[in-house]
Formats: sequence, C-alpha cells, structure tokens
Amino acid sequence: MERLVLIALIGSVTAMQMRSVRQEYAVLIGGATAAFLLADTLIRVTGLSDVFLRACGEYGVPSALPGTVLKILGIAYLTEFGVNVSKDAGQHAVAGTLEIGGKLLMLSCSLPAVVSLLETGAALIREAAP
Amino acid sequence: MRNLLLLSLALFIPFLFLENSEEAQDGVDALLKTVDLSEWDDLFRELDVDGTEKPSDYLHEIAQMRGQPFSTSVGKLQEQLLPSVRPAVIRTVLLLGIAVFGAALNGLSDDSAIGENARTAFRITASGIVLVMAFMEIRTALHMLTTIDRVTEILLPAITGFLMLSGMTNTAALLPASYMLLSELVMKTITSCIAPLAVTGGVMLVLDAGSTGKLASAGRVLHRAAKWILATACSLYMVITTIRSVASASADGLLIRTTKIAAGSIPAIGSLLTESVDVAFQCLHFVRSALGLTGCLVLLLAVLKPLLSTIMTCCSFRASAMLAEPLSGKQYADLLRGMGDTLHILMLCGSSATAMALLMIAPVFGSVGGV
Amino acid sequence: MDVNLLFKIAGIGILVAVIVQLLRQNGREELATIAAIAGLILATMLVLSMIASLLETVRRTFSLY
Repeated sequence: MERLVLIALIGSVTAMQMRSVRQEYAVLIGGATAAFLLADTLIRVTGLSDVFLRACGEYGVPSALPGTVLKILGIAYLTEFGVNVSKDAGQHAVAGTLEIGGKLLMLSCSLPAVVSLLETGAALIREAAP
Repeated sequence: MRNLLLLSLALFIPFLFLENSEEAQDGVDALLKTVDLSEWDDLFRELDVDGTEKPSDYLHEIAQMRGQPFSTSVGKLQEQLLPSVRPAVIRTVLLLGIAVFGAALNGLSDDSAIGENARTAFRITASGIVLVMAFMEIRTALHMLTTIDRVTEILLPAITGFLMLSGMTNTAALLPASYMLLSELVMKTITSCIAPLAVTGGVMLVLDAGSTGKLASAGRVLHRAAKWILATACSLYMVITTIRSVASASADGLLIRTTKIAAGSIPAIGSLLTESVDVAFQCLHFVRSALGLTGCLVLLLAVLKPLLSTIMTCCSFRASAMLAEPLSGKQYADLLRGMGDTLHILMLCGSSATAMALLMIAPVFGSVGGV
Repeated sequence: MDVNLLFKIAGIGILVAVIVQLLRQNGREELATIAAIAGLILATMLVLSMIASLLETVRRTFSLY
C-alpha cells in the first residue's frame, strides 16, 4: 500500500511539473500513473474472483450470473478510469460520451440477469403454490 | 408394510411382559441388534427419502437413544449430522463475498453518474444469485413437507390395524379422526397456504430489497401472516387432539401427563422449534409400545436430514445478513435477511408438522402395554 | 510496468522541451514541430503499453474476455 501511495505522489508531482513545460505530457503521465495503480490493485484481487466463481459453481448457480456480476464491476472501474483521464486532459465531451457508453454496456450486461431473476422468482412461486 | 407390522410386533412383545424393567430395555436392544435393517431401507426407498445415505447407517445409534439421558442422545445425533456444517459455512462466506463486492462499488465517487448505475446493476444481479442459491434449499424444504404427509399417511393403516388387533377399538377409532384433522388442518394449511405465502413474501423482499417501498413491506406482511396462520393451526390442532385423547383413552396418568405437556406448550412461534423437539423427545421417552416408537423413529429419520439442511441454510443466510450490514449497507443486509426469513418460516413449518404428527402417534400409545 | 516508465516519459518530455527550444532558437520552426510530435508519439506508445497491461489484468480478474 505504501508503494502505491508513493507512486501516486511521484506521478502527480511529475505531471504537475510537466504541465508548465509541455502540457500533453502531463496528461500522459497522469494516465500512466492511474493505469499502473489500478492494475497493481487488481492483481491482488484476482484470486478472490477465481474463488468466487468456483464457489458459485459448487452451489449450482449458473455461471452466467457471477460472470455478469464481475463484468459489471470491471466495466465500472474501467469507465471511471477513462472518464477521469479524459477530464484531466480537459476533454469533457469525450468523458461524457465514454460515460454514456459505459452505462449502456453495463445495462446490456445485466439485462439477462434481470430476466433470469424474474424467471427464478416465478419458478419458486409456482413450485410452492401449484 | 406387513414386514413393518411384524417387526413392530416382535419389538412389542417384550414390552408386554416385562414392562418398565431393565430386562425389557436389554431385550429390546438385543432384538434391535439382530433386526434386519434392510427392511427399513426398503421403506425409506418407498418414501423417496434422500437416497445418498442409508438410514440403516445411523439407525442403530438413534435406536440406542431410548432410555439414555437427553444430552447423550444429542451428542450421538451431532456426530452423525455434523458434516453438514461445513457447506453452510462456505455458503455464508460466499454470500458475504457478494455483499463485499457490492460494497466495493461504493468506492466509486458519488458524483460520477456511472457509480449509481453500477450499484443498481450489481444489486440486481446479486439478487439473482441469492435467489438461485436459495432455490434448491426451498425446494428441499417443500419436499420435506410432502414427505411428512406421506409418512403419516403410510403409518396410519399399520397403526390402526394393530390397534384393532389388540382390541383397543376406542383408540383405533380415534386415530383416523386424528389423522384427518392433522392432514386437513395442519398439513393442507401448510402446503397450500403457509408455504406459498412464505415463498412469495421472500421473492418480494428480494426483488425490492433495502427500500421501504410497497413491494418490500408487502413481503414483510406476507411473512407475518404466514407465521400467524402457522401458530393458529398448530394451537388448534393441539387443543382438539388433547380433548379427544383425554375423552377416548383410558384415564392413564402417563397419557394425561403426555398430553398435558403437549397442550402446555401452545407455542410462541419463535420457540416452536425447541418446544417441538423437547416435546418430541419427551414423548419418545414416555412411549412404551414398540409400534409407537417405530412410527416416531420412522418419521424422525425421514425428516431429520432435510430439516437440518434447511436449518443450516437459514442460519447461513441470516449470519451473512448480519455480517453484511456494517460492510455494505442496508440493501444487501435486507436482501439476505429476506431469504433467511423465508427459510426460517419453512423450517418452522417442517418442525411443527413433525411435532404434530408425533403428537398424533405418541399419546395414543401412552396407555398401551401397561395399565 | 513499474515506476521507471513514469520517469522515462518525464525524461522524454523534458528532452523534447529542450530540443524544441533549441530548434526554435536556431529558427527551424518546422523541425521543432516534427520533434515535438515525434516525442509525443514515443511517449504515447509507452503509455499505451502500460494501459495494455492494465486491460489484460482487468480481463483476467473480471473474466471479461
């Protein structure tokens, strides 16, 4: 954790320096720092998601559902990263469009899950009250 | 069924001659050791009980429980049934993991619009997972209720026939009436009224978790109605059976004591499980006749495993709801607690149905083989 | 994929700034512009390699495929 905080500080300060010299490099350095931090954090979480998928499989949950859950998480984090980097570069239009794209993608991922949720609920009720 | 009758006759005869003595205990124990347990396997196969583990594997242990102090019996039972704890722990951790992942999304800043969408989408998908995980367990619980019904239905002609043979026509006349009452008042209410209410309420609570909207409060109302109906049906049944038993059986101190214990535990629904298990074991202790014991044993064995698995799942849902509350907020806690409540009601249904069926069998035999 | 990459990008940036300044002083405007663009492309490729590894990690963790 300390390593990550140090890298974040160094990256931010360097980017600030570059802003007075050549502005575009500030955006590049900021983006690279953010990418590095995100990747480093996610590497530690990879084990968790594997265990989660395997445990869900053991209990007979169809593998589409936990996969969707993880997809939503991934899309959310990636979109957040891209939007913030674009905003740093001052391109709010790009950021806004990326945000809309992310929202649409998440909703389209979760639609099958919503359908299966309603179907399972109906099947349960039908089973209990024939 | 004829084999069951012969087996019970064989077990009954020592009681007839040597009631309430050490030799009786030893004799029956020796008899049980030589009994061909494959008979029981056929019966259980006929009842379509969970076929992965043969009841004869732990039948000896349970049969030895008679005449032993309660704690030893519970200890032996625990030995047999403890392996089902580990899956429950894993299930709790899994549900908790879902809630924690949901909490991770709270890290996205609030003024980013994608955070809100992500949270909603994640919650809906997590609801789907929770519902699917509870699905199998609810199906097992519902199946257990029908099993109780079928077991009592199968036991009834055997017990009635035996009573007729031994000349106790009064109690023989009482038994079918008791069974009609049991099946109409208790079992039918449970399977066609209480279970659907519980499941529907659970689904509503899952769909609308965390908010105070109409759907969630409707679900809660359904759950409360289900518990109230269960309490009323069981109380009615106990009162009527007590009155009938006292009226038609001989004035046996043992019988009155048994039914008084039964009537005295008109349940506050929350403690119904402890009450019913208490009553069941006390009845077992008082029952003299081998046929009554056989009937009680058969019923208990058929119901024990599904009931225990339902209890474990209910506990794991509730535990994860409790643990998720500080971690990921009210929504996930309500989601998990909704399913936990549904399983709780189904478990109460199962245990009270078993207790009522045991009450139907046991007091009838309180006076047989003695006075 | 570590901190040195950040310093490389910063180094390229400073180098480009110095070169552009020198070329402008000597009056070669178009060469200065070309040098600036070349430096930018180099730095962007470095950043893209880091972002590619980020995407790979995300794909593996969240099984996005």
